[in-house]
Amino acid sequence: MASTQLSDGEKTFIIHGVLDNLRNDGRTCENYRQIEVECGVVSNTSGSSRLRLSNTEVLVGIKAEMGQPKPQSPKTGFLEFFVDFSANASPEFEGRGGNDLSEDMSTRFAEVFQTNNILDFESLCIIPGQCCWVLYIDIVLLECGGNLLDAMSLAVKAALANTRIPKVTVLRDSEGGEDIEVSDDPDGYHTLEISKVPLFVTLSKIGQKHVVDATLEEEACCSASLVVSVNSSGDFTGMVKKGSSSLSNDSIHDMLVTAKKVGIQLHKGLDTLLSEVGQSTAGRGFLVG
Amino acid sequence: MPVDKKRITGPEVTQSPLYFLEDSSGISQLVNKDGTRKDGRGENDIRPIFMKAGVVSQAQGSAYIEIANTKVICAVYGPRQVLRREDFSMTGILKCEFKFATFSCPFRRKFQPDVEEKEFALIIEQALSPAVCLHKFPKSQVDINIRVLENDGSALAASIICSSVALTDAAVEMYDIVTACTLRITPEHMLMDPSYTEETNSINCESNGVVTMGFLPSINQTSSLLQRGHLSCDKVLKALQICTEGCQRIYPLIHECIRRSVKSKYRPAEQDKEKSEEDQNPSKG
Amino acid sequence: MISCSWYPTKLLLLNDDIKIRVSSSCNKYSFCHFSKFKKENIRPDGRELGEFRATLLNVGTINTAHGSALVKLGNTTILCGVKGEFAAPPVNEPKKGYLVPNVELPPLCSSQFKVGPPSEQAQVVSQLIDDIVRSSNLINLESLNIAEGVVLSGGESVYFFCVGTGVAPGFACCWGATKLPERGPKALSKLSWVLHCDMICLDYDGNIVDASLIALLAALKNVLLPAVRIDEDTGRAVTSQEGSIPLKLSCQPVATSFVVFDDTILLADPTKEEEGLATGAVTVVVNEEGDICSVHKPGKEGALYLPRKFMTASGDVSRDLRKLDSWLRKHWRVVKDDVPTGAYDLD
Repeated sequence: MASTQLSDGEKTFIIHGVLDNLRNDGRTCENYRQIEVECGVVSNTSGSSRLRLSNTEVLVGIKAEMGQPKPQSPKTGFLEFFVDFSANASPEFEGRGGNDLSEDMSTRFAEVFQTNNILDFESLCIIPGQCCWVLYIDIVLLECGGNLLDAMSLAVKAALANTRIPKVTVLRDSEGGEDIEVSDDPDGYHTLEISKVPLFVTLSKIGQKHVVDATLEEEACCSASLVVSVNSSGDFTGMVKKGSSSLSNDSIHDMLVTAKKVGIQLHKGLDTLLSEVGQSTAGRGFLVG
Repeated sequence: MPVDKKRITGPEVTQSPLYFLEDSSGISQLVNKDGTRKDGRGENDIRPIFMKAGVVSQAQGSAYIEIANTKVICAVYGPRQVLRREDFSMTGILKCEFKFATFSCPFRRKFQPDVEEKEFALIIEQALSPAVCLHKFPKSQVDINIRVLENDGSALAASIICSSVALTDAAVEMYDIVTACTLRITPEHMLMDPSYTEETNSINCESNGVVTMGFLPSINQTSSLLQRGHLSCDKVLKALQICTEGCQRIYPLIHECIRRSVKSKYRPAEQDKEKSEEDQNPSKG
Repeated sequence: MISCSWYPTKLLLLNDDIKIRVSSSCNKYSFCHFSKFKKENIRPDGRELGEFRATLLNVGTINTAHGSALVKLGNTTILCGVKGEFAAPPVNEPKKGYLVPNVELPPLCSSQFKVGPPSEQAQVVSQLIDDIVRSSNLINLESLNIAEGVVLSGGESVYFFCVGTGVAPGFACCWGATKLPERGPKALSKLSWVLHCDMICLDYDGNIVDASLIALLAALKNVLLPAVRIDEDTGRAVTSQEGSIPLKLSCQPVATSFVVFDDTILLADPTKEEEGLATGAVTVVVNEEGDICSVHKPGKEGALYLPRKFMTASGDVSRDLRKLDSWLRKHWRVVKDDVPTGAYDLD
């Protein structure tokens, strides 16, 4: 992650504050910062969203294209993730500087979205074994203010809610060949059911306690973190420990309990917002916790 | 995909014969009615492990592990100078390269590392970092190269164990040895040390998952955790407990392997005598 | 209950018995010592000038590969795994299959190799093995063909093969044609095997070429490909677990590498240090009848050695050739017959 330089004194200050459940900006350990979401911001995509988590800004665009299904699952469509770190976010992402980090995050998303029931992948199938919808999800980081994965997953869920997949009819001609016709009707689309899409919750261990939604300064004091992917019912669809320090089993226990609680709240907040916003482009905000 | 000009290439599009199986059965039961698994083990049984250190003559340290059919070899080079000056830091760096051999999995893998291998390399690096005394070799890096020669499940756990044995063989100072264990969770069972079929069978269905955990037994800390699949919070917490126990059971074996390798390095004559004694009384761990 | 076996039963037969006899008068390899060794006809590791290292062979250990072999030539360790896949045959030779050898020298085996694309040495060795395979006609590529195809009316050849799975009724994927193919008895599939023979070096101590070739031969003899038939009604390929077919090799070439010092000394089976200090190298590939399949002679040093030595009837050469002959016979004894799974000591 793009990191800031902190002196030892500042680090100690943050660690002591966290022990007392008070962070530099006045939040408790389980609070998220102000989140603003806008949907439908990029016109030539099938779905898009822009999300601002205080200093972190993420733009997600989803394009639905037709492609060949994977040989091991010929009746389903699939998702392809690509994370791009714009040089705007931090000078160290210039050129190929952000490649390792972005590959790592793309992998995280790809892994977590592999479970069968996250999206109705079978509805993305056009002709079994030959043609299916492939959703290319491109995530661009515009500004880096800490807690990148959480912001990206929130934006992805919002963009998926916003995605319109055109209706498709399959015509069979007399010789047995098949032609695919895409509907031109502006209302001829179907949307995706996103109730089971997971969100990432990153828990950073600072001193003896852990915090949710760490800022850049807090990430610099953090020895290890746990990135948990939680769905709306509190189940975990993927988890990985990051960082070069170790965690005790009790800490992990506490972190997972927090992850479940916070994850459910996050989902609720985002779902209410998305149902209010609908397809309009006006921005709304919400505060969790 | 761009043509790989540096290797002998065959045809561009190939398909594995496994897609063409006549009788590809669907989801089959992993556990029989009497509670045993397909290979006759119980739920908590770990497969037989063979470990040896010092197998690559060119490396500073190396190790080889076999967990039943899973075979992993690891070589450690270093500490040596960092390759790029930008990586200068007052603590040492661990650089891990992880690769499945192309013939190691049922479906052939490519020569170039794919995303799964890059992710595993990062996870192994982060699993080993807490155990190594990085401050002892500033401005230097230790290169850990791992090849999985055959993958029959628990490849990541085997790699973590293999690389920590290789690090000790290379005389890199460490706080503790890292052990690792994999657990496959189904709606009814928790299977320790799964084979490849057990790991991949219906993994994408609900309430199924795999947890791999790297553990430091002496200081009782977890250095690595990877969970895939869809699991409830309670199941994950229970899985962590079982994994910890599994890791602690493997620890004495690693200890014994390292002890033997150190003995054979520094007292070869006595080792021959001991070996001939053991030939008469084979030991089981 | 975990049991741990201290006897390497499966993959690596770790040869603890190799005792390296180092001459007490030198503890560093350097060129001047070699002339000293020549006088006494002994090398730093105790071998004679024309002596080959102890060889171990362990076959059929990788269960995920269709065939595998591990060779240890002293410390040099090469593992070869063969995996078969389906592909359309080459356009200009539709009755043939493919055999694709590749030698990988990963950073694992030696500190001189870096992470990334194959080094020059790996490319050279891979190309050399590929040339040996072609020039010695190691395997009849037509035996790797499964089914020949049919040209549809209109002169447009459609190459495709169908994938059938137990779950889905199957689909056809096609490329090279503008229209989806018909289903029916006309549209049969062109299909052949691709044998990817990947050799990984696990320990680099010189003489990679010899070890790779032995590993390749042994692995190919160990290959059991699943039986394939084309279903007439659907045009799909169907494989079954039973009825595996072994491969038939038409030739069994064995390579021997030498290094040359100063146009006068010829060392067989060089170690890494000897290769680094040598002024020239030569590899001779001979088949079981004693015919030379190929000679690889990079560089200029030692170029005069070969014709001069081979033309004169000096004792050195005939001794070398006899040594070579007996060594090759020992190897053929193993790779010639059906090689069952197991480990062999070739000394």
